[in-house]
Amino acid sequence: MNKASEFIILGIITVVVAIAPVMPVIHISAFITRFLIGVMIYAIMAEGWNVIGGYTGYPSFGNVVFFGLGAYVTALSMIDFHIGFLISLILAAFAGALFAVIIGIPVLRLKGHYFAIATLGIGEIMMAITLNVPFTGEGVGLSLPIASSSLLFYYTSLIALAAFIIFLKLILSGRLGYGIIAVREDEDAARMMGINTVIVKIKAFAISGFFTAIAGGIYAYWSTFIDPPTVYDPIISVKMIIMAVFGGAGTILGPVVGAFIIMFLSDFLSTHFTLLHTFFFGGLIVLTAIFLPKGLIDLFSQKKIGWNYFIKNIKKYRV
Amino acid sequence: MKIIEGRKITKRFMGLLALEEVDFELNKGEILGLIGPNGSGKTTLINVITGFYKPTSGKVIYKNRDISGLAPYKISRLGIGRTFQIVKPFMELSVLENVTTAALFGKNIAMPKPKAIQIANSSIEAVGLHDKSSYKPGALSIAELKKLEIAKAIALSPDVLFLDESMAGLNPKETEAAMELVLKIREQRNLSIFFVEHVMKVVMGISDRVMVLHHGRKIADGKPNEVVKDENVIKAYLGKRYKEQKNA
Repeated sequence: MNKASEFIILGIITVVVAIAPVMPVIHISAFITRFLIGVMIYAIMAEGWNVIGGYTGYPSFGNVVFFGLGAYVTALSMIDFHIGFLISLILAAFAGALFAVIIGIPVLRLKGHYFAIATLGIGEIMMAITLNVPFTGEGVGLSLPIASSSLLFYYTSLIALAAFIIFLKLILSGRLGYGIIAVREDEDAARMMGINTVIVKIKAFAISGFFTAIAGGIYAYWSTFIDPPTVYDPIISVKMIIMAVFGGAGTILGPVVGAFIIMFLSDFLSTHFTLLHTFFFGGLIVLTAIFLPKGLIDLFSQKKIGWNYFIKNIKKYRV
Repeated sequence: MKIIEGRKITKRFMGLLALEEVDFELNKGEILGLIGPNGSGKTTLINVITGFYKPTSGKVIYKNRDISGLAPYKISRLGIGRTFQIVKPFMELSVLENVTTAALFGKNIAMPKPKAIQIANSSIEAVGLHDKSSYKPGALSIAELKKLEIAKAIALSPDVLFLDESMAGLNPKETEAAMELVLKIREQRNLSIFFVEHVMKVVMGISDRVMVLHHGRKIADGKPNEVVKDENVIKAYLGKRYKEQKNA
């Protein structure tokens, strides 16, 4: 990354960090607050996918299970046990991490497509279980208490996202981070370097599950109603992947940028082109995959962006 | 003094007997060359020793400890390093980051990062890649990639090093330099080295001892100039031309 782009990115971060906490207070419409909460919840999930998919190289198509699990744990703990929201979120986070360990042990032995398909299956299994277990409200769903102010969700998601980014930054500069990236780059070489690849992968999956479950918990209380088809919807997994890859998988800020832009475009397009919006949206994703395979954030690391950059990208990933 | 030995190692893949009761031993400070035709079981033997395959029967004893069937990460933490026949660099990381990863794990598992970077730098220096330590592997030549493999292996601070065709694909001048490098790292780092190689000049040039595999069985083991005169070895691997050239 060159000096100028580093400066630009630092500038943007500073502005965002300075403005974000006071955003809802200084003015803004309920609409924008609502939009930003949605962005941050998705940013946490995209970043969660990024840990396992972008950094570890295991493209999970079932990360929605952590979202759904987090939503249900939070809801049940608040409704049935009258535990406060924040404590419930923490319970949800640990449930997400624990679940990642349990499913990770069999599933992380698989590679590539097999891993993707297996994780896709887990989402469906969890939906079926939730639909058939009495204490989850089965198909009827669960209604949560209504919070007094949407600011609670704004700040909880902001703090959770910030904590995740800082945590990830620390992890990546340490031993675990080197292990995670080594697994992505070449698992056999990693094993011969003394890296216990199984443990490394499980830890990465647990981090992913931990934070994605928090996103689910915030969503549950925010939306005040959850049912299995909503919170275990496989489209949510797909959205996480698109956001992470669009912004830049395997970078810390990429998924956050991706979440913001995708949410914005999706809102903008669906209000302005009600019937055609999926056409533009889909087209944009295809173009990004061809011209910007490393994501938007990669543009900042280039000294010069010209035709050569795009031509190089096209050549790099074609057969 | 033996540092690592194999006792009657057998490896069977379904119907194929890849290794049949192979014994070997590597003494401390020794360089042992392993030769044999393609498919004779050389890489399989290394895979069994380094834990990538479990032996069907037989044992690998390292420093008086049975290590057969241990996971590769455990074996490398005990002080056994290896390079791969097909190089396995981490393409998205710089040379320094590649080698630092090895130093962070490896034999001294609780190593702090600054120390690991220091070890990585000295390993890179040892193989002569120090002016390219900020490059990504995509910018390196084959000879340099092979050096990177060796740097990663020695950054583990191993006692034994397995080199799987580390000189394949190099030109004569690069081969010469690689031979010197192997001798140098043995000297500096007190290593015992077990290497697989096809280039006879290399085998003859740096081995203290040579062993030959053919169809998964050991057919010869001894001093290099004795092994190349062995009738079985000539028939199975070297061919008549090699013998005639030597005599001429």
